[in-house]
Amino acid sequence: MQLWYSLVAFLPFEWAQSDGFLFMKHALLAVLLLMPVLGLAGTAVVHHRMAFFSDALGHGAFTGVAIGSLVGLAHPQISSLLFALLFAVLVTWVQHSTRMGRDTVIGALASLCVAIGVFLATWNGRSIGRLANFLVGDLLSVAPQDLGIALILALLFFPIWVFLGNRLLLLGCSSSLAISRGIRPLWLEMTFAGLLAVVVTFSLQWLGLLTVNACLVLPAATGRLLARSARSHAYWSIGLATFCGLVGLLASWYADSVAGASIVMALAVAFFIALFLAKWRR
Amino acid sequence: MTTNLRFRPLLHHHKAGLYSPISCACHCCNRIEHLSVRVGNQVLLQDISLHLHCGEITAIIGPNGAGKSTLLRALTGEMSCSGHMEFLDASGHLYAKPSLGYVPQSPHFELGMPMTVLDLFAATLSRFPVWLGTRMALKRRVSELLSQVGAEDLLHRSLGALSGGELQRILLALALEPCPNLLLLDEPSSGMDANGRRMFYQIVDQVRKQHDLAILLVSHDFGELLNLADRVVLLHQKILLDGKPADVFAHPLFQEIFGTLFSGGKT
Repeated sequence: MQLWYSLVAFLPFEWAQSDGFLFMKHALLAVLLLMPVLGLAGTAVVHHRMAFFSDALGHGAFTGVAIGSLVGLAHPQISSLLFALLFAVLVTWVQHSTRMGRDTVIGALASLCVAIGVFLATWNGRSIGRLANFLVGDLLSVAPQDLGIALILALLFFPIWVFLGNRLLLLGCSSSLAISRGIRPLWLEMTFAGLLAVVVTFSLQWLGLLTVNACLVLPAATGRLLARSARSHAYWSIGLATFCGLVGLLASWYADSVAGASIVMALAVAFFIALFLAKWRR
Repeated sequence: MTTNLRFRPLLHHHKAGLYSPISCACHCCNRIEHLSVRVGNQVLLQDISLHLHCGEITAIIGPNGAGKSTLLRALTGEMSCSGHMEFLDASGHLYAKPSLGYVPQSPHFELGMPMTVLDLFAATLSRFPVWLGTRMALKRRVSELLSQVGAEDLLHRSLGALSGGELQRILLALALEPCPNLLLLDEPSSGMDANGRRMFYQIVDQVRKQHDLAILLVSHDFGELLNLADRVVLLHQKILLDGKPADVFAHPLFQEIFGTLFSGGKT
């Protein structure tokens, strides 16, 4: 961490100086580690029309947190991760075995998850207020040990994506074609959904339920408007996610507001500019 | 079993030579044996046995819901089926790793999808991730493949912006790598005008000759099939007719199913 602190000290911000605010330095590193991952994963989310799914994953994680805190786990993240994984596997499996629309399956299962979560969280007349943090997240309370996990997550994510990327691209184009090339959709989709569950659950504690999905969908959607090839789509998405993450973080410092909200606002502004550009170009 | 009686002459013809198993001994041969597909209680395909030889185009025709696409999907593994399939080379040895080329029925690509023709080829043919770039060698190979179908100028075109005919040519080129033991085409000419159709089938004929391919083609273009196909199979859950195009088209059963819209060899 010392290396990071001394690197940040070169930045021309008052909080970045050696006697500045540690929590901002941590938040900055968190943004730099997480946003590229969300941006890249987002390209496949948009390609596979899974925006609703990634949103619903958060609900699965929510139930996990409620159960975890009811049982009295020291780290509700673990139970939320398990629950999000279970949710991802269940949705994929139900969808494949019944051939129902994905949105129908998600709608059914997500509402069940939220119901269980709220039921357990308010068990015995408890207040639901503690879980509000979960909705908006808190990027300014990042702990150094969590940054270590984020680093590992980012380092693991990219090699996995090297393996999955092409297959997901092909499957998103045409499942018949993908199957004829030896791809097994159920397993590939389950792996992707599981990976997404890990990324979303981990990002939840910092960015919150509302922000995570925006960070997955908006950069990729914006990139889609600007890019022509798969490669430039990935780079646009990663670049926009990281850039808007930084802009949002700085804006929240000067406006003294929740970081997640300003990040989403920065992403949304980028999206509408791109929308305008795309219309204008045609 | 009246239908059985009806196509006895054709069965006889079948036994008489052209497609008897014996010819498998001197050509490479793809054998589909007793293939059946069931979904729940419904039988979609029953006991399909076909031998498909290199350099031959076999056309599958049949009314709507006859199981034509199902047959191709069963072969690619998209639908589970019973029966089996084996790929033999000219001396009768089994291929260890046979490859299938498949051109699906006009897949829909969204307009504005950020993917070029090159991206599709790279994602399918290479393990190297597309989002990290495409290697020169692969790019050259893709250009070569595209030039076989007269589409080398489409390399950097966006997938969503291709016309129906262009898309089918692209998918055909993709199906040629790696060189398939059996090439499956599912109604490739849907959405093309008469001119485009003629051009497309010319290309199919060309690549067939060039690579000595065994091709299984689902099609309704009887006029084109007459000159293109070596053999036509009339399918309706099971194989009803199997023979030379002119013979099948002249058969009363064909007339009964398709009406008199197409009368034998007189186009």
